Amino acid sequence: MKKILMFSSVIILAFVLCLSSSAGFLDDLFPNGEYPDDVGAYYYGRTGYNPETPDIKPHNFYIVYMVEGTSEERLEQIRSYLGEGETVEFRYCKRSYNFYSDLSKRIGNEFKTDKGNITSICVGIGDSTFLLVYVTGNEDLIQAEIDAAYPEFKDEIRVKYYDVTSGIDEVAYDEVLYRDPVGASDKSSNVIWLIALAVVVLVGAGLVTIVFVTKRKRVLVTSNGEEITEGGMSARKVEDAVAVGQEPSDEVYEKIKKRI
Amino acid sequence: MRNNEFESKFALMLTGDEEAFTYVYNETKKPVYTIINRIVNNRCESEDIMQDLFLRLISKKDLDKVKNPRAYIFMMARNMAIDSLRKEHPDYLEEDVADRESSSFDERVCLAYSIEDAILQLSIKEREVITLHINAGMKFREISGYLGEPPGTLQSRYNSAIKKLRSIMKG
Repeated sequence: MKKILMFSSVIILAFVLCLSSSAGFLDDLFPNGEYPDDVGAYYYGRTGYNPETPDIKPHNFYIVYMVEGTSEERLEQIRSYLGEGETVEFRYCKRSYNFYSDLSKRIGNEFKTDKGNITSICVGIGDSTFLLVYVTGNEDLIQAEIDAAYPEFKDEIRVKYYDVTSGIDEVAYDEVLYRDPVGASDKSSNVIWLIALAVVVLVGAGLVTIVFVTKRKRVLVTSNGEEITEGGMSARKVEDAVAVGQEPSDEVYEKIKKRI
Repeated sequence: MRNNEFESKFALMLTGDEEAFTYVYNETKKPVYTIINRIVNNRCESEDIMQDLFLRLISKKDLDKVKNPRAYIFMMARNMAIDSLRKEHPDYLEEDVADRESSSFDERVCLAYSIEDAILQLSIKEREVITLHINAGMKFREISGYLGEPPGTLQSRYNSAIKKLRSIMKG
C-alpha cells in the first residue's frame, strides 16, 4: 500500500510539471509540457548537506520511470538533458503516463459507485495498480486492480473497497464488489460471486471477531482536551482533530497592542 | 464577502487602526499560532514569533498590494517559524526530503495520546502541509504558489500525513 501511495504521488506530480523548480531538465524531458509516450512518471528531489557525508555535495536528482523496453539511445538522450550536479536514475513501468491518464479519464466518467462518484484517480506506475480516490464526505479509498481484473479494459472492472484505517501496510478490505459497467452478467457468474461473497462474509466475520478480541482501546484527545473518537478513526475524524488547532495566550495580544 | 471585509480591515490595520488590528488578530490568531507551534514546538517561542509577526506586519509599509492578506499572514508565520527553527537546529531542515518521505515509517512504533503529539511525529513538511491546508484553509494550489512545490506533491504529502496520523493514533 505504501508503495502504491508513493507511486501515486508521482502521477499527481506529473500534472504539474510546469510548476516544478527543476525547469531545465523537465523542459527537455517534457517538450511543450506534455508527457512523451515512453515516460511513466518521475520524481524530483534535492539532497541536502549531510554533515555525516560531507563529501557528497547537495545535488538535484531525478527518478524517471520509462516504459519497459526503452532503448539505451533514448536513455542517453535523457541523461544529456541533465545540468551540472544533477543525477538521474531510471526505473521501469508497464505503461506510459499518457496511457493511464486517458484511461483514468474514461473510468472517472463511466464508473459511478454506490458510495459516490470518483473524483480523482492516482496510478501506481510501478505495479500498474490504480488507486481510485473519491470523496463523499468520508475519505474512503478504492483500489482497482486494473491490469489483473480489467483485461484490456473492455468488460468489467474489479474493485476492492479497502478499509484503510488499519495502517500503512496492513490493508484489510471490508467489502469486495465486482462491478460491471456494461451491465451484462450471466447467471453462472452470479453463482460464483455469491460463493465468493459468502466466503468474504465468513472471513470478514472472523477478522472482526479477532479485531474485537485483540484491539486495544485508544482515545484521540484534542489539544482542548476533547475526546474525539476511539480506535479505527476515519481520515475525516483525524482531520477534524487536526482542525481544532491551538490558541496563543491572551498575553500575546496585550503585548502587541502595547507596542503599536 | 468575509474575505473582502478581512482585506479592508487588513488595509486599515496597516494605517495603525487598532480596531482593525484586533479584527485581523482575532481572525488569524488560531491558525497562525498553530502553524508556528507545530513547527517550533515551543509555546513561549511560538508566542514570541507571533508577537514579532504582527509587529512586523504593522510596521511594513508596502503591504497594501498584497492580494491575499490572509494567506500572506499564514505564510509569513510559516516562514518565521522555519527561520527560528533553522537558527536553533541549523541542520534539521536540510534533511533530504525524498529520503525522509520514503523512510520506513511503518517500521516505527508510534504511540500518541493527543493529536498534537501525533502531529509532532510527522516531518516538518508534513506538519506544514496539513496545518496550512486544514487550519489555515489554504488550497494546495495556493500553498504551492508560496512554497514552490507542485500541488500534486503537496496533496500526496497531505494524504500520507493523514494516513500516518491515523496509524499513529491507532497505536
